[in-house]
Amino acid sequence: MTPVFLLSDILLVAIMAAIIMIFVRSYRNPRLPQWSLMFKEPMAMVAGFLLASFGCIALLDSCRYESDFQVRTVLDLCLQGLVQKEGPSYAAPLTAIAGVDSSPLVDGVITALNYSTTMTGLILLVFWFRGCSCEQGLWQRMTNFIKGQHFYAWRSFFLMLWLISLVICIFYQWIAQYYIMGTDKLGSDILYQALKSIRTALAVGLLSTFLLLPCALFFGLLAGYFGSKVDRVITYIYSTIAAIPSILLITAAVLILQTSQIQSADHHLLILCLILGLTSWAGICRLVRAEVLKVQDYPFVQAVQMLGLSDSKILLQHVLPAVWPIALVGVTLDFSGLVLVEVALSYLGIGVGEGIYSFGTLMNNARMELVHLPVVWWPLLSAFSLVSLLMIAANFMSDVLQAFFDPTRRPQ
Amino acid sequence: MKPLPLLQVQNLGVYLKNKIDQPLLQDIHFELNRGETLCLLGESGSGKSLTALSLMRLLSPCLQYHPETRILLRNQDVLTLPEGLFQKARGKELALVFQDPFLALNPLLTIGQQVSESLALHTTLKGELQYQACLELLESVRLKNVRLCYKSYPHQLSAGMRQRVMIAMALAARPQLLIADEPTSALDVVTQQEILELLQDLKKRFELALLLITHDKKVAQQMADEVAVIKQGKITETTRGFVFFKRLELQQAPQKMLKTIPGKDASKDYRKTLVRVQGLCVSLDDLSPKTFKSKQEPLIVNHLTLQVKEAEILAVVGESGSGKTTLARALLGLIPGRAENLVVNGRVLLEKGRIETIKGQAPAQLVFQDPIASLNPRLKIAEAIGQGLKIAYADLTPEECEKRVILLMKKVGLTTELTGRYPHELSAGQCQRVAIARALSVNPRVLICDEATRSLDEATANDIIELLQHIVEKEDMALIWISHDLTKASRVAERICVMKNGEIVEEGLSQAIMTQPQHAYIQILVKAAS
Repeated sequence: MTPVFLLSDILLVAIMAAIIMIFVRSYRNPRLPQWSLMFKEPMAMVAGFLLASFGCIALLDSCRYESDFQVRTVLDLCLQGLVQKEGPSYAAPLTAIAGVDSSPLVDGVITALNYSTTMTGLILLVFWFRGCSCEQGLWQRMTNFIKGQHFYAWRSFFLMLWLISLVICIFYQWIAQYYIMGTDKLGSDILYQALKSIRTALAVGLLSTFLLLPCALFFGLLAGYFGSKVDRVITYIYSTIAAIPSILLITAAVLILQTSQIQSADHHLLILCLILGLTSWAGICRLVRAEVLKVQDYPFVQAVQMLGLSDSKILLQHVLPAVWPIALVGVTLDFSGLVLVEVALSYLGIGVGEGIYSFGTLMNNARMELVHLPVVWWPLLSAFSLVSLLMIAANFMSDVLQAFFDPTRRPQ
Repeated sequence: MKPLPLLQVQNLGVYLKNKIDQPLLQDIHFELNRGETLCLLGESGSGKSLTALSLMRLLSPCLQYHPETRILLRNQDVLTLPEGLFQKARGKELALVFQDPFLALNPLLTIGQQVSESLALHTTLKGELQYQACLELLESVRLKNVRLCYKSYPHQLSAGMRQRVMIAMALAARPQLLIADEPTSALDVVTQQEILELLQDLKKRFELALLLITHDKKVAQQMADEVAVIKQGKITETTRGFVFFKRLELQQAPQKMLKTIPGKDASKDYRKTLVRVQGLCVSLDDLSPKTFKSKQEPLIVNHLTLQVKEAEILAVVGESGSGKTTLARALLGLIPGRAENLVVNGRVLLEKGRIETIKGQAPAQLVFQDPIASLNPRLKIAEAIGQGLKIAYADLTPEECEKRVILLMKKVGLTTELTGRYPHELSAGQCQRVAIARALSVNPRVLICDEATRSLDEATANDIIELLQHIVEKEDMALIWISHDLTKASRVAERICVMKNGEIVEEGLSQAIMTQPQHAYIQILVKAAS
């Protein structure tokens, strides 16, 4: 068993590590804005927990190793039961696996309930006892918890913990006996494909966002702040990009780049992210430019101009923080757009490469199976529900971040 | 028998939902007869506007009336009326005039359309008759050339004309009660006077009951039959207007007046001249790109000449649109223009007779009108002041910087525990002090204050003025005080320039100007301000 490192894995892990680092740094240094304050809002706690779970799955799926001449990931190891199954085609969800004597579905749920409740309860007890040394007694802490009177939204945290552990337990109870989300035409498990798609979605979303955001902010700030010739050149560039239908532009770019000698699936994915990032910054750039035009007429910007602060400092310290919230909203909306573009590209057959699962390929295959009678609805449902969950969590998170970046709305 | 009052308000209380113990308004009682004016007088945040909105039943959904509140309009409790019935009464029985006519008028509809709208709602007039009625209404608020007004859009009218249109709209259905919420505070002094006279006149003509909400004692004194003083959501006293102001005069006499810097003997004056302006012209073409080049350039600042010396305060006074702010921006090197001579703090801003816009530090510093908007909401106070220090002293260690920030804060009268606060956590007066500290952080010799106390209440404004006078004296700085308020300017400054249409119509020591004004325009300003 030797570890394998792919470029997209390393980039994805690096981005997630950077996000965690920001949290840790602010936690250690009390002079910085405290990111943990975000989690006073129950909504933030729920959204954060969901995103963290998605992140964990993507991380597990990014740790690769080679055994028996096959590259596999840690996630595959966790889902061993699913990978090895070769079932009948189009088995509906929760069909019992032939040849395995299965206990009733409810039994699995009850066992799972026992496990998850016990586990969450134990952690909760530790949490209560840990704080007992301070002035409040155990009873006081428990009633506070139930009323939700805590500095952070701990009640939501434990509720989410219980829910997620319940889902995982049920999953492991049923995995050996049922096709939980059914199978597709070739008899391979839908749930496995859907879970593997999470990494692709996050990779496409995060990697292209990290390319797109700096481009959009840099050009938007320059165009808005300096005006005249700089503005004209940049506006010309992004208008040109925006004028070409984005799917056509992306398709053309993908086809050009993929005819070259690069053939591994991982490179396909990276090139896709690169192209998505470089072609879709026009919208956010336009938003940022408009906002900068507004912000630079504010008295506080004029005041620091008169103080003689250099342009770069004015842009970084005064203009950027003011336009940042609007860019953030734009990016979260674009994030779902990027995943959708990936779906469209898969439909054209030029999405992520062969052998990589993605929501795009899953939905594309499911689309063709909708004409069957009886309707094969489960592949679409599993892809759709996971994508919506991810998008809703991301949108809530962007709301919370916006409030956090605004000192008048920041939770105290 | 005494006739029943038109409006009776009993026990008016308003509080945030579920927070009955923290009322925003409390125990408000008053009565209003036809043909009478009641002035609600109070500082900002005292609940004046909330009272107006609660009378109109326009409270935001998170607010609630106190259960014992009675608002009787002709002996009918408006709070028990269903919303649909009351909606018909709004405008017909009681109408509201807002503070800012530009925000209250729809920018996409013509004046005629908007006035006809309220006519169509409350009268049966149609077609030609409606048009005639609309013109009559516009005439009744003393608008000239009403046919042209009918066809124009809000942005084509002046602020005063817009406020007249608002009043015309409110009067369309001949209501008996008119609520005017700070109707004149968005207007300059001269227009203010005209609008007040108009209201007085309309009140007599239509026998209106007028509820005037204002923070301005002068407005109240001119208009009120009765005065209700409101403080922190409670009415503290209700008296007849003349009694109230008689008493106020008696109280005010021993109150401390602002110290005026005595004018020094001109012959022995050894002070250096810090600002020297000769023949400054700024035209409209300088400010906006030359899309429409007119043959005769309209001049915003027209051949202006002035000087300010060390430790001197010069007030520049004029109505809005007289070119005061443009003058300030030209002195700061923010806009291009022409001049024969322009030296600010030893820096010659001219190049071949033209003023070029300056990159980098301005030759003078500016204190803005709106203190909260002039501070970055995302920077703490210490950071806001510190960034100027870092420019003034290139190699400053963080500890030294902190020390100097605290020194500056003490200088402008701020306590040191405010360093870690954000601007929204401070009062407007404190924000203005921070803005002054920030301006002082680069050690300017010339300070320009553009209506620096306009958005502050009276007491805070006086504190800020005293602070500025003290700083100017101590640091030998020159201060240019730009304002529309001649009386206050005469207390702030030793010399006054009165501007009109971009020209200085009169210049002299403040006492001379106040006692023996030469120009008719100044008499208008003096009259309006007193």
